[in-house]
Amino acid sequence: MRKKIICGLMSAVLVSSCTAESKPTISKDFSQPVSGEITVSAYDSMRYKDGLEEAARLFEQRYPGTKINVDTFGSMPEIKTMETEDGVTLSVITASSDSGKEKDYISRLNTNIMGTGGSDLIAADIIPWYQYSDSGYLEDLSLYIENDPDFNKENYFNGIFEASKYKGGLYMLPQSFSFDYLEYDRRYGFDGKLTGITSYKALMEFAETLNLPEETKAFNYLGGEQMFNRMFSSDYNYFIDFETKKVNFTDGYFEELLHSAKEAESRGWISLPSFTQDEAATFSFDNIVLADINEDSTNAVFGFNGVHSLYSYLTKKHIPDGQDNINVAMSTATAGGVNSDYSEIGGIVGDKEGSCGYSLMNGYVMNSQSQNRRLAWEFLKFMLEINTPGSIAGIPVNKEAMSEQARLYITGGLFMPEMDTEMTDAEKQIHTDFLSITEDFVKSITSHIINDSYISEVVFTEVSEFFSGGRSAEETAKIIQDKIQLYMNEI
Amino acid sequence: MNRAKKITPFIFILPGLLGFMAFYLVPFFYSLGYAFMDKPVGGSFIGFQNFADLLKNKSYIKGAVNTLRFMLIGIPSCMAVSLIGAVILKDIKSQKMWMLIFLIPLVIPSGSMAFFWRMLFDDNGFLNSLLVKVGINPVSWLNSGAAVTSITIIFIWKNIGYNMVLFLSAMANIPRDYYEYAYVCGAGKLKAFFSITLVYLIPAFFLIFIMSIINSFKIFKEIYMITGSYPHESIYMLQHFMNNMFTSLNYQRLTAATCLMVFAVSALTQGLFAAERRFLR
Repeated sequence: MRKKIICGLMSAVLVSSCTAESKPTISKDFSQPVSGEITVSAYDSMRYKDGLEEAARLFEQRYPGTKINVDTFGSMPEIKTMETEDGVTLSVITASSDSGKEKDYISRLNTNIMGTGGSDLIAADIIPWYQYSDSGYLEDLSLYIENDPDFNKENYFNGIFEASKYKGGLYMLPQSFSFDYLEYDRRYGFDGKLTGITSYKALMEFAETLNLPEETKAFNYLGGEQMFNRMFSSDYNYFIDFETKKVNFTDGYFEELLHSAKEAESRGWISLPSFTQDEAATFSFDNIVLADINEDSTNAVFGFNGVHSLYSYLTKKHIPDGQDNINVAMSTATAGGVNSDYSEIGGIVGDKEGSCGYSLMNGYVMNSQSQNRRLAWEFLKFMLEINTPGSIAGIPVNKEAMSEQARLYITGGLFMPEMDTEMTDAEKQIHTDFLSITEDFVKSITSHIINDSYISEVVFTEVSEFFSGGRSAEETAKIIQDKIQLYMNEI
Repeated sequence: MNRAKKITPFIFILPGLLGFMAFYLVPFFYSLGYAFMDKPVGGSFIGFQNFADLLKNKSYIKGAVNTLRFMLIGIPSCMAVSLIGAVILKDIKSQKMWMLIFLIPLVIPSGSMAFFWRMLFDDNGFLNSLLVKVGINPVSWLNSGAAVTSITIIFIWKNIGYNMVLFLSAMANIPRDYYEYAYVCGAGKLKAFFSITLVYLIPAFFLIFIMSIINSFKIFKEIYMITGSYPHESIYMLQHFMNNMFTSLNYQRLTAATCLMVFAVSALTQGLFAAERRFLR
């Protein structure tokens, strides 16, 4: 009898738990007032903290009575300064990743989500949001986009939203994104041949045709490993498919990339790393050798630049005598790229199958257990519309925000508020060209490169072994395949 | 009076029982509900689908196979070494001092020991430096198939003292007369060991075997601290799978795996108890 009672009680507990946690009923009525309180959390304080706090302050001003709590976990980067003999002040910002702290953050996040519900909005910095969406923890934000009458889709890069979809749903909403474009030295006769999407494979073929003098390099990379990392990033989605959980490192293409990067190094197509590993480990201010930034050290045929480098290119084009211009000064300070007197913009960098992915800079997910999803959505929408300190990294997905960001970049107002003035005619031309070129590039983007921190760690650790001569390409590919397949089989 | 006698033990164990129910039993059965849903949030009942998917999941199978393989290697090795140690220490004068030494691993914090093990087994660690000095090629103790050997060494080191204590106390209960009679009859020490010591240690063997099974699951702590969430595939255990399911909030798969593990361990221990009862009879 006693056993029956105990079994009955246990069954009752089991059955009562077989009801899924019920979601608060979502109100699709966007005419309801915006009120209440939400929490936004992020790990990467450097990228998110200032932007979130600024956005929260402005949002609370627009909607009195609302409260946005910002909860960041990671530490801010350390800033060290020193003064040289010439009276120049050098500032070095050091930001390091701490995998132990990252694990603590994710553990805390998981505990909160399973316990009290967790934050309403979570930055998609280090969290495996695609895993959370599989378990139903994230809202499909495409429903909000479709149903919100105040959301003007024409104002956004909808292609980026499409590219961000995972298993048909938009669980991660990008605030800003980035991609690389190709720059080349026109003296080598590539006009018309490097438009659209260019893969590294095509570029290696072009490099084969060159007969470069010793001081000129084909690519602006420091070492084969750095070049490989870029090549891998471009073809990331070829190797790993998060939706089907397929991993593909052993079909020969991964080894081909490894060999290509190593060959580029041995053929003198790329510079060797400036620092050895030991030098990097003992880096201190005493090691810094100040380069003469006025010296012409641009000597690569191909350059792979972040989209903000377009400002420097366009500024030199429209303001040829603008040596004092901040964007020209920034480009001059960057050595090893394409000679700016002969540089031309090529296409956007893509993978071997001709598709192009973007890298996320800032993005957010919404907790499906949020008790105030109306407010969370409004705040998310607000953040997309404004430019905050954090969103300077990357292109805003909102076109008006991008236009405003471009204006601030061009006038120099982004870095020095006192320079935020009316644009001159030349600056307006730069602004128009920048928007046009960027929009053209963005049309080519069809996917999102989900940068999983564990996968990156495995690949770059094992690839280091290859470049240091400790392992063959085949062994490296096999080890990476086994490790990542094990990981993907879990999720 | 009889009723009071029946109730009194329950009163004394009630606090512990309530704690066990509140923090283990009820949460276990409550969370087990996730195993029958497709998603923890907004999901629907799917019966045993999660269990079926789990048994086809390659990571789960790898974890289960590795756990079983480790148990088949580590437990007999540990018991054999502990038994040999107990036999050696049985009649020596400084037995208490040696027992103290062998029990030290039980009290050293795992975090401190993980640091030591990493230094010992690292590719550039102390062990490989010794091998290189004597002209042997270094071995990747944590990143190759040799990882199983490394964790077996750690397992034996950690549990040898505990098992030796159990063996010694069991051996102390064997009447000396049996040995004296055996020696008088012409039996040697080896014969006496196999015919008397081993036979009378069988109940202890069952207990130590069950405790070793439980301790074999605890080795995950050291492996995790030394090699992280994704160690070499040869030492990827069931607990790694379950820990990673927690990290990715895949509670349906986590609870299904937990349920299967509880079922397997319960069946094993019940089988061992039944075998012990049958043997003793």
